[in-house]
Amino acid sequence: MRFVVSGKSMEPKFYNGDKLFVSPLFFKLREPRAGDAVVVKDPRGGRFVLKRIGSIEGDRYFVRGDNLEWSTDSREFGGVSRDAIVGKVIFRYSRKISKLIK
Amino acid sequence: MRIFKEPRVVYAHCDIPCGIYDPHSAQVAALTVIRMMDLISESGDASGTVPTHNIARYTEVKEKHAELCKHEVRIIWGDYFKEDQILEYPSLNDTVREIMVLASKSKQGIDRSAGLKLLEEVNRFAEIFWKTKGVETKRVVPPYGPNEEIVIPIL
Repeated sequence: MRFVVSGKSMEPKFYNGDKLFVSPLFFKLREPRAGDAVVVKDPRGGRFVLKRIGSIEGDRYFVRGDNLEWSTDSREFGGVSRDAIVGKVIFRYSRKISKLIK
Repeated sequence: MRIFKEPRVVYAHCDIPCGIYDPHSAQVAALTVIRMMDLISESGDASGTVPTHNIARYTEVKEKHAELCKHEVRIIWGDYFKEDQILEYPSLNDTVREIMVLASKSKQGIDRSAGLKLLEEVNRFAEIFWKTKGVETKRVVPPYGPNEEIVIPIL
C-alpha cells in the first residue's frame, strides 16, 4: 500500500510529503516489535496515522511519534490493538529535493 | 488499479499546537521593517561611533524582521492553507511569492517603497486568511510608527 505523509511528528526520518510503501503482509511473517515504523488506524476516527511502536504491553501496542513535541499518539489516545496496525513501513520511494537542502 | 492512484494520506501529526495561526506577527514584522528603514534614513550620513552603532542595530533588526515575516507567512501558507483553499483563492500563491521577494528586497536596501509593498502584500495575505475563516476585516493605522495601515479581523 502506498501512503503520503502529512505532518512532522516523524521527522527527521519521515518528512511531510514523503511517499511510503507500507506492507500489510510483513506482520503475517513476524509480530510487530518495538521500533517498527507502522501505519495505524487512529482509534478515535477513521484516518491513518504514522507512528513508531514504543512498547507492547499484553495485547496493546503503544505508539509514539519520533518527534514527541509535535506528536499526538498513544500518550493521548492510549494503546492500539493488533488489528489496528495496518502495516509496516518498508521503504520511502519519494521525497522532494527541497527537503534535502533546507 | 490502485497503483495508478494517488497514495493515501497517513498523518504524522500533532493535534495540540496546530490550529493557532494568525498573520498578525507577519504584519508587525513588516511594520518593523519599515520603521527600521525610517530610522536608518533619519540617521542620514552621520558618522561617528554612536550613529554607526545605531545604524548597525537598526539594520540588524530590519534583517531579522524581514526574515521573521517570511517565516510566519510560510508557516501559515504551508501548514494552515489546504489545497481547496489555494484553489479558491488563486492569488494566494502569487501573494506569498511576492512577500518572499519583497522581504528579501527590504533586507538588501532601505528603499521604503519596497517595505510598503511588502506590508501591502502581507495585508492581502491577511485578508485571504481571514476570509477562509469567514471573518470580516478592516484596515486601521496603528498609533505607532511607521503609521502605516494594517488589516485586522473584526471579531
